[in-house]
Amino acid sequence: MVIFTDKILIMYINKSIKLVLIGPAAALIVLLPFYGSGLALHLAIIGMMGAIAALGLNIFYGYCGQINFGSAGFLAIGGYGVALLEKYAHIPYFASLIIAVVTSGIIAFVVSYPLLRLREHILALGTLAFGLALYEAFAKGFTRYTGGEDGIDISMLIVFGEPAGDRFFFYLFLICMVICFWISYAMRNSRVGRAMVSISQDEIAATSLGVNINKYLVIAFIISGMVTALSGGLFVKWTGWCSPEYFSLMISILILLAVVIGGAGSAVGALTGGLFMFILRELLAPLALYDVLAYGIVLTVFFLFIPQGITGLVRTFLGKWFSIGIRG
Amino acid sequence: MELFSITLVSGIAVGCTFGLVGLAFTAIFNASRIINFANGDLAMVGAFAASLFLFPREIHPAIGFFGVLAMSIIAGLLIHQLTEPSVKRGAPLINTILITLGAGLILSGSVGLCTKFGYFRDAFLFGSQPFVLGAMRISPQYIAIIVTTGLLTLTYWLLLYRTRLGLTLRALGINSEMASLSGINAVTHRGLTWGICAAISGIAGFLIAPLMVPSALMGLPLVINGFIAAVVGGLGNPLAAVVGGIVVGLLLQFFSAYVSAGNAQFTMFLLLLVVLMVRPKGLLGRD
Repeated sequence: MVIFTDKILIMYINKSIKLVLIGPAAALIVLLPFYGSGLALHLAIIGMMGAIAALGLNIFYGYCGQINFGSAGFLAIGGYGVALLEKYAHIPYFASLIIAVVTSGIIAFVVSYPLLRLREHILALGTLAFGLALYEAFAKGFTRYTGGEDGIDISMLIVFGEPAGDRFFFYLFLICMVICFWISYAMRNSRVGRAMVSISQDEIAATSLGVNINKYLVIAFIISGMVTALSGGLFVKWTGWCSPEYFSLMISILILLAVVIGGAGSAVGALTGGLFMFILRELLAPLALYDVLAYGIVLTVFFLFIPQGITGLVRTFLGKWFSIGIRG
Repeated sequence: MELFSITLVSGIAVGCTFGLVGLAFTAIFNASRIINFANGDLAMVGAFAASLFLFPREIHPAIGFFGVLAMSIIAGLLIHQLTEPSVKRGAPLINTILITLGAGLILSGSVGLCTKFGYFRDAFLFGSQPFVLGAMRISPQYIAIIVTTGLLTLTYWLLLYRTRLGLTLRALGINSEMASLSGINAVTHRGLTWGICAAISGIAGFLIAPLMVPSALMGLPLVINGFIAAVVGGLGNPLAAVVGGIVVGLLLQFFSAYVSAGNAQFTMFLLLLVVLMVRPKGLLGRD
């Protein structure tokens, strides 16, 4: 009986604390363009770009447990897709964004045939080669079309006859991020997501329970590629310039770091990690000479002392002291 | 004909340095299944140490050489210390791999701070008088690279397959828990492997420094071509890494000389993808 009332009490506290925490936080975030400074808005947009990319990678790396060192390749497909469609086909922005995202899905499907036969460290090398090959192709290979290191200039987005400012992009990014978060959160708590997690834990056991491993890995890879491409397509339009330096190996590593630092396998974790890493990167940029060292130290310290990530840490902390469980 | 012979020799020499990085990478892979992202940065430390100890003429070359070796090995042991807790804890492989990446960034960042991310002082250690062989004129640096690669590979191969220590190292790579049960001190031997890896990388670093622009950021391109070399040859086999390196170096140089320089690196990645697709074990790999 005591246990029963305890449970109800905990559930009640759980629900009310979540409401108390999430309600005002959501209001604060949605209203940011009205009270925040220009810098805050700038940082928020960069953070959300990272968060979308991290949510994309999380589906493949976090849920299925397969390494992908080539996320920047999908980011580049999104970015260059938008830029090239505008430059050569003069297609309006939102149409080109959709085409770029769908193209990324198709490319992911085609590439998944050779890549997903590999596992573990060999898969890491294969995806690394995929990302770098795309980077080389855009930066040095087909310079006549892509402008090489100079990149491609992109026109400003016109909404209702006026050029769109940071405030518009903030809401655009926010909506896309919420949609991507909802997709990955809903996926995690569905049959598909459970099948993917079972693959990450034990492939043989998953097969014996009737999970078609190849099918789910391909699905995860395609969705992951499409979400990451969306992030790239949004980002280049905001900066107004599509440059190969946005899609270097460092960015792939940064996205992977974001997922791991946030807490792999959790949508909340990928979201937090993406925001944290990309805002941190923007804040570290003025350090100039020290930034490489700073990355190295952040990376090493996290893996040595907090391998479960920020959400993992918060989860154990809340679970221990307040008996609050966070799902997802 | 002139272009062909120059491309051939430079292809072999560049390929040998990739092969050396691939060899160092194989050493770590064999002992602990870790993909060492810090390999290129260890080579960078070697090049940096050479600019400190070897190229100023007032230091005797032999002493300078030991300085280079010592500095690389210290860097390697530092990475060993950073990865060891994660290996011991039995954390997922990806965590350890990313720690090596972080350690590489720390090395590259600290050397970068010392040099303000400028270029290292470098020189052709073996003089610039070309060596004439028939109609070909070969830079002594190339000859030094090729000879050193041959010697190092042979030594490492003999160590791995003809000594008791090599047997221990191979056993550790196959199953470190079983090896520990039969009385092998896993930590010490892994540390030893990191030392070997760092020494090979350091030597590769100061040999290749005059061929590329040596700076604190030279590690990444080097380590990527080292990976391609090791995978194309066959992961885990030291001879295959060097053969793979020479194949990659030749293809890279011939492609940039005869087809297009911009697309050369892109083609290397396609080659890697094709090899992974058709023969994931590599050209010389055995199942």
